[in-house]
Amino acid sequence: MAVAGQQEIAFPSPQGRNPLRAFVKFARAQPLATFGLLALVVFLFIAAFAPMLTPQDAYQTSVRDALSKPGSEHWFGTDNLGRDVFSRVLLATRFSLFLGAAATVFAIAIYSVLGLVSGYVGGMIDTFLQRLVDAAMAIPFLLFLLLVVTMLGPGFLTIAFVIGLYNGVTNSRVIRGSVLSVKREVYVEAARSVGVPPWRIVVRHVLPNIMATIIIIASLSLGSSILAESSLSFLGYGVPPPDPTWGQMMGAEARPYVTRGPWMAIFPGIALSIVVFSINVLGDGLRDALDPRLRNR
Amino acid sequence: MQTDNYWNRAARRRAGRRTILKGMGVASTGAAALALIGCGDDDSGSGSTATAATGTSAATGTTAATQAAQPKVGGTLRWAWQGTPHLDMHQDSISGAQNIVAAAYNRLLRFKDDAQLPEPDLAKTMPEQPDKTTYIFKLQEGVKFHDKAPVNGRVMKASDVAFSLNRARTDSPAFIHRGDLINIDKIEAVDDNTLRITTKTPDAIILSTLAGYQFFVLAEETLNTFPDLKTDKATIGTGGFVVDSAATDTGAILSRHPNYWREGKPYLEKLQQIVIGDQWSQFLAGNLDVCAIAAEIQVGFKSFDDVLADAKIKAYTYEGLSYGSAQGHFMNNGAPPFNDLRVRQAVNLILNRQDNLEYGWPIGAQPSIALGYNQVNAGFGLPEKEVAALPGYRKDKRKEDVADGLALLAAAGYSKDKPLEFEIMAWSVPHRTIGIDEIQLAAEMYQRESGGVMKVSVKGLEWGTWKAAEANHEFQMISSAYSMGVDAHDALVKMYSSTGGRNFAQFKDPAFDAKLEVEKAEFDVEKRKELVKELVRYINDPSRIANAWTGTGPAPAASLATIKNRPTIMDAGKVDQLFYG
Amino acid sequence: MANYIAGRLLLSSVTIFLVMVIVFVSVRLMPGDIVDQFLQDTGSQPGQAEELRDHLGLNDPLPEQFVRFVGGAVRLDFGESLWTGEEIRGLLIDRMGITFELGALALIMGVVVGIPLGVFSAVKQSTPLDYILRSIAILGISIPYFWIAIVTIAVPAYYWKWAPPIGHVSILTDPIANLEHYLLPAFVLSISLAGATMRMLRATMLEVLRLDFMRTASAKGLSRSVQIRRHALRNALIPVITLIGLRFVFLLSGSAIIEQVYGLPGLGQLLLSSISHRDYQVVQAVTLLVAFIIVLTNLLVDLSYGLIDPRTRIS
Repeated sequence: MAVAGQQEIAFPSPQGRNPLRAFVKFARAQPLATFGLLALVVFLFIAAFAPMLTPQDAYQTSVRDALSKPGSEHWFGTDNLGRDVFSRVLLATRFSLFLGAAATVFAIAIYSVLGLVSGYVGGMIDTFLQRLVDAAMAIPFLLFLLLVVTMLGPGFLTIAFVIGLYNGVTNSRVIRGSVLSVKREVYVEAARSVGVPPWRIVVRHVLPNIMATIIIIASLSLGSSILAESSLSFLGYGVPPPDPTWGQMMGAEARPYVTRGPWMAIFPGIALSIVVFSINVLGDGLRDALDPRLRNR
Repeated sequence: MQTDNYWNRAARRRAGRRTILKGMGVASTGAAALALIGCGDDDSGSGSTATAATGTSAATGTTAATQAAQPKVGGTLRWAWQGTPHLDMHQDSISGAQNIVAAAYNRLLRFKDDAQLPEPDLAKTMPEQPDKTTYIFKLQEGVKFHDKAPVNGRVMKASDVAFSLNRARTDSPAFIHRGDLINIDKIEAVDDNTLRITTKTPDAIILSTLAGYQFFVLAEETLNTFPDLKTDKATIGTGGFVVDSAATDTGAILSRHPNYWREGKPYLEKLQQIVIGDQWSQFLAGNLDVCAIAAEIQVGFKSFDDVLADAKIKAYTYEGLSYGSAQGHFMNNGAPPFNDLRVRQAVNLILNRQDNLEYGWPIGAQPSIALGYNQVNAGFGLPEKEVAALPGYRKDKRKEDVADGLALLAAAGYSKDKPLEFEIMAWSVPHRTIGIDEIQLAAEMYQRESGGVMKVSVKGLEWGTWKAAEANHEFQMISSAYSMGVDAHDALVKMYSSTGGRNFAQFKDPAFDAKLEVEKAEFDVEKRKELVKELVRYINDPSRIANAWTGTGPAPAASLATIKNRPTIMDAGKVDQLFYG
Repeated sequence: MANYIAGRLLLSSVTIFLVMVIVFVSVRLMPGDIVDQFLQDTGSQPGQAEELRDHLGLNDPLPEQFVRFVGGAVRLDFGESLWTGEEIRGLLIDRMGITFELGALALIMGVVVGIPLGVFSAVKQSTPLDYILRSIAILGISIPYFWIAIVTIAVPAYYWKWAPPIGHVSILTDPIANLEHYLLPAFVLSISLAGATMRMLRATMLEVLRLDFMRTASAKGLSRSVQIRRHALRNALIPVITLIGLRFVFLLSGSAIIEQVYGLPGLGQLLLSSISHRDYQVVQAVTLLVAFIIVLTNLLVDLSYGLIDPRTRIS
C-alpha cells in the first residue's frame, strides 16, 4: 500500500452545476467505481430494509425442511436448520455490512491516533510504538485474530474490534508517513514557531492534509474486514448465532454440508464477493480521485 | 414433594419388561466426519476408553449374506485417516492411530462380534479364574512377530505380554491409560505360554478393558533399539499387517504379514490410510473404499440405503458401533438455577427428546439414559418399552408431561413474567450433536415447549475454552454427546461417580458409588446387566435426577460394493478377516 | 551499508523479541489449558490434573518458562509438543516443507498470471480490455479464497461425483502425484496474489509510462514493445517486488485454511490445531518461525530496494 501524503483533496466538484451531469461525468471517467457505488447503494438499501424484504422469516428453523434444493419455494434452498437461505442472505447484508463498518470505525480510530501520535510527537514514543507495530505485523494475521478473539470471548463487537485493531495497527504506519511529511511543511513549522499549541496544529493543519489517506485506507479496510470476518467464521471463531453474516453462513454453517447442499455456501459467497468487489472498485475510484499523482488520466 | 406424581407413578410401573434389542452392525471407519481444527469431534477421542468395538452381523439392505462368501486373497483397502501424531498408543490420549495399531498388533483379548464383551485373541481361551482376583491365561503357540529389526520374526512369549501390559501402566503421567489398569495388582509370566494377572479387588470389567486396542503386545527388545513406539519402524507386532510406513502427513501403508499365526489370514494384501479432509466427496469420487456416513449426509433420508441410492453409488452400508456416544443436557447441579431439584425435574419433563435426537442421528436414533448405542444394544440399557413409558420420554403423554413440568417450574417460582433463564453451552462450530446449531435448536425447543416460561440463550465456545469451562464447571447447561466408553460401567463411572471425569452435574452420592463397586464385582454378565439397569433407574429417579438425557444413535459407514466379511474394521483387531469379493 | 544492515538486524531482533513476549503471554491468557483436554475421558483419579501440569512444566513460574523458551529457541531447540510429545524442531521442518511448496507454487502462478495482465492492462489503459482485466483483478482480491476452495470440492462432488485429489503426497516419493495434489490449492491461493500483482503493476506502469525517460525512449524511435519491455516494465517491477515479498508472507500465514480444506498438513494447520489444544510450545515455535521469516523477508525486500535505488537507503 503506497499512498503518499496528499496536499489537496480533489473531489470532482459539482459546484453550481447540475448534480446529475456531474454524476454522468464521474460515471464516464470511472465506470467501475460507478458500478461499485450503485451496487453498494442497492446493498445498503437491502441492509436498511432487510426484514421487510425477506420473503420468509430468516430465523425460522424447520428441521424437516433442511437442505431443500433451490427452487420456487426457496430460491436459494434451505440450510441445515431448514431456514430459507435467500432470506438469510438478504438479512446478512445488514450484519455483514455493519460488522465491516464497525471494524472500520475501530480501525480508523486506531490508525489515526497511532499514526498522529507516533508521527507528530516522535522521539521515544515513536520508537516504542513503531516497534510494537513491527511486532504486530510480524504475527500471522489469523493467529493475531484467533488469539485475541479467544482471549476476549466471542461477540459481534468483539470480532469487529479485533479485526479493526489489526487493520488499525498495521495501517498506522502509512498515516505516520503522511504526518511526517506534513510536519515538514513550511506552514506547519511556521505555526509551531509562533507558538500555536500542538493540538491546534494537528486539528487545523495536519488532519485536513491526511484526510485523503485516512479515507482511502478506510475504504480498503472495509472490504478486508468483511473478508476477515468470513475467515474467522470459517474456523469457528465467528459472530455468534442466530444473526447471520455471509461469513458465518458460508464459513462455519455451510462447511459440514457442502457436499450435501452446496447452495448453503455458494449464495452467501456470491453476495459477499459482489459487495467486497464493489467496495474495492469504489475505493479505487476514490483513490484515483483523491490521489493527484494518479488523478489525471 | 407433591408435584412428583408422574414420576412416582412411573416408578411403580417399572416392571422388568425385557426387550432384547437386536444386535446391530459393526465397525467404524475413521472417526466421525470432518474434524475441524484437527481436534475432531468429541467422539473421536481421547482417553482410556474411547473405543468400544463390537459385533458384526445384521447388515442393512444389500449387504446381507456376505459372511458366507468364499474369501478371496489380495487387494488394497483404502480408508480415511485424520492423521495421528505417533503410533505409541500406550502414551496417546488422542485417537487416530487405533486402526493402524489394531492391524499391526494383537492383544491378549479382543472384542466379540455381537457385544462389547471380550473374546480370546492371543489368549487361547478365556482365562481360568482360580479365585475372584486371579486370571490364568494360556497363550497361543507359535505366534510370530513381524520380521523387522531388532525382533526379526521371533516367536512371542508370555513375558512379552507381561512386559507390554506393564509398560502400559508405567507410573508416569505420560502413560495416559494407566488409570484403566489401576485395579491390577500384578501381571507376570508363569512360563512361556502362561500369563497370570491378579487384581486388587474382584473386577468384572478388567477383561473388557484389556480387550481395548491400547493394550497391544510388543516384543520387549523393541525398546532396547527404539526410545518409544512412536515411529513406523518401531511398530513391530504380531498382527496381520506390517506397517511399511506411517507419518502424520502422508498417511500409512500396511502390507500382509506373511507369517501371521491365523491360518490363511489376512486376506487383503494392503491397507492404506489416507489423510483426508472431506471423506464423503472422496468416497463419492471412488478414492476411498470405506467412509463414515456422517449425520450431515443422512439429512432428509429414511435409511442408509437411500443415502447411497441418492448418491448414485453402489455401496454397502453398515452400522459402526465403535463409539458409543450418548447425548444429553447436562445441568450444573451446583449452581442456580439447576441446584433446584424441581427445575431439573421440569427440564426432564419439558425436553422434547424426539427433535433433539433426530437432529443428531437423522437415521436410527433411539432414546437412552446414560448409555451409548453399543451398550444399550448389548442389553445393558433399560428396555425400550420401559424408557418409552418414562415421564418426559412418553410420546403419547407429551401434554401431561409438559403440564407437570410447568407446574414444577411454577412451584419453583418461575412464570411467563418471571421466566427461568439459562444458557446452553456447546462448541462454537456447527455439529449435529455437540455444536452450536444443535444448541440453537435446543434453546428454541425449550422456549416453545414451555410456552415462554423458559428463556434460553446459547453460548458457543471455541474448543479449548469450552473444554476449560467443562472442567471448571463454569456453565449452566451443556448440550453435547460424549463417548461412553467400552463398557456400560465406564459410562456410569465417568458421568456419575463422585470422581468421574465427566461428572458435569457434580452428582455425588456415596450410595451410588458403592453400588458401582458391587456391579463391577459381578462376574455373571447377565446379572451384571441387571445391576447396570438398576443403576440407571437409580440415577433417573426423580428424587435425584441430575441430567436430562436424550439418547443415542448408530455410527454408520459405507463401503464400496466389493468389500465382504465386514469386521469391526477399525480397532476390534479383526481387519484380518476382511476381503474383496 | 554495513551499518544500515546492522541497524536493521538490531531492530529486527527487537521485533522478534516483542513477538515472543506477546505470543508467550497471550497464549496463556486464553482460557483453559491442555490438561483440561487430556483428561476428558480419564481424570477419574483426584490430583491427576495437577500431577500432569507439574509433569508438563505448566506449573513452573512464568518467567522461568519464558527463559526456558527463549533459551531453547536461541539454540534452535523448541522442546516437545505438549499434546503429542513430538520433537518440535522436526515437526517444524516437516510442516514447513509443505507450506513452502504450497506458497512457492502459488507465488509462481500468481506472478506468471499477474505480470503480463498488469502490463496489458496498463498499455491498453481505459479500453474495454483494461476494464475487464481490472475487474478480474479486483474480483481476485474480493472473493474469499476459502470459498473458492470449498466450492471446488463441493460442486463437482455434488453434481458430477468427482473430487480433486486431496491430501499430501511427498514430492520425493511421487513428484507427479505431488503436483496433482498441490496444483489446485496453490491455484486457489494464487488468485488473490495474481489480482494484487496485476493491480500494482498496472498502477506503477502507468506512472512510469508518463516519466521523462519514456518520452526520451519514444523520441529515440524505439518501438513501443521495446520501450515497454526494456524501460517501463523494469522500472515498474520494483514496487511489485515489495508487494510480492509482502504477499509471500501472507501466503505463509494465510494458507492455514487452504491447508485445512485440501488436507495438507502444513504449518498453518499445525498452528490452528495447537491453538485449540493450548499446545503453548508449538504455538510459540510456529509463531517465532513465521515472525522470523516475515522479518527476514521484509529486510531482504528493503535491502534490494536500497541496492536498486540508493536514495531510499538512509531511511
